Amino acid sequence: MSDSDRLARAAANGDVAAFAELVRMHQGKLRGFLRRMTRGDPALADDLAQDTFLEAYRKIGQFRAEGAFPAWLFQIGYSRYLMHARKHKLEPLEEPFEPVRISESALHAKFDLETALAKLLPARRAALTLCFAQGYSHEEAAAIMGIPLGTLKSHVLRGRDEVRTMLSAWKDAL
Amino acid sequence: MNDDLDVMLLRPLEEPDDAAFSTRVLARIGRRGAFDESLDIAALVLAACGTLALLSLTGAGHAVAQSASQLAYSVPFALGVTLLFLPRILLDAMPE
Repeated sequence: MSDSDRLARAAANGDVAAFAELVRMHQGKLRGFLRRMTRGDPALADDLAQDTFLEAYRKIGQFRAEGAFPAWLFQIGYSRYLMHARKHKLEPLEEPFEPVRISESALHAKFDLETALAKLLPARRAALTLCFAQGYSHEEAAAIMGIPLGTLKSHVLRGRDEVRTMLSAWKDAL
Repeated sequence: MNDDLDVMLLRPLEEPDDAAFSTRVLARIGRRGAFDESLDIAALVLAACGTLALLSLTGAGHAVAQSASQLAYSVPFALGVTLLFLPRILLDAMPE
């Protein structure tokens, strides 16, 4: 059992200091993930991260020690982000009718990986981030996002293709 | 391109400094705890007020008041009350 899971078990038994340690241990990764999900809005990402920890604290009794605490935390974080995005209509969450197109102005702008990822569907952005930058397996990422494994794999493949297309178009335009 | 892209995607995300983030989260948890506690107390007070109102409105309060003195002197009643509250009193009195 990892340190996080041990601390989570202690927190589930009412140890607030153990939960405080969990916050300190995982805040960086969670906030980094939410910053990418919110397309670089640090204030919104931090609000969502705070809400995530609050919800985790409230539900810590439901955390089962056989699962990993960070994945459980990310699951709450991702669902918080989705709820917020739906409520405030931040960006389309479903498949667009047309494939991603790069506008003329975007071609002349600095077109880096973050810009390309920000143009993806949130589910694809999350899938790529969890599987690559955060190092989760496909199975873990699917569990975090609450989607079937096949859908996750499809998000990873299509997301990568879309990013590659965008970056190539930018490169060609230089 | 493929490899380059994978390398870029594999790059760990920038983790913001904690600064006062953990402190803010824990302060919110503390406030939330205090709020939940005051909600519990408010619910208890409301329930008590509701019961009293019900007793006075239905006239049951009068009947209870009339029989209270008789009940108080009844041995089974006194034993019942003692058994009901004694464990709680003892638990509260015990040092943690």
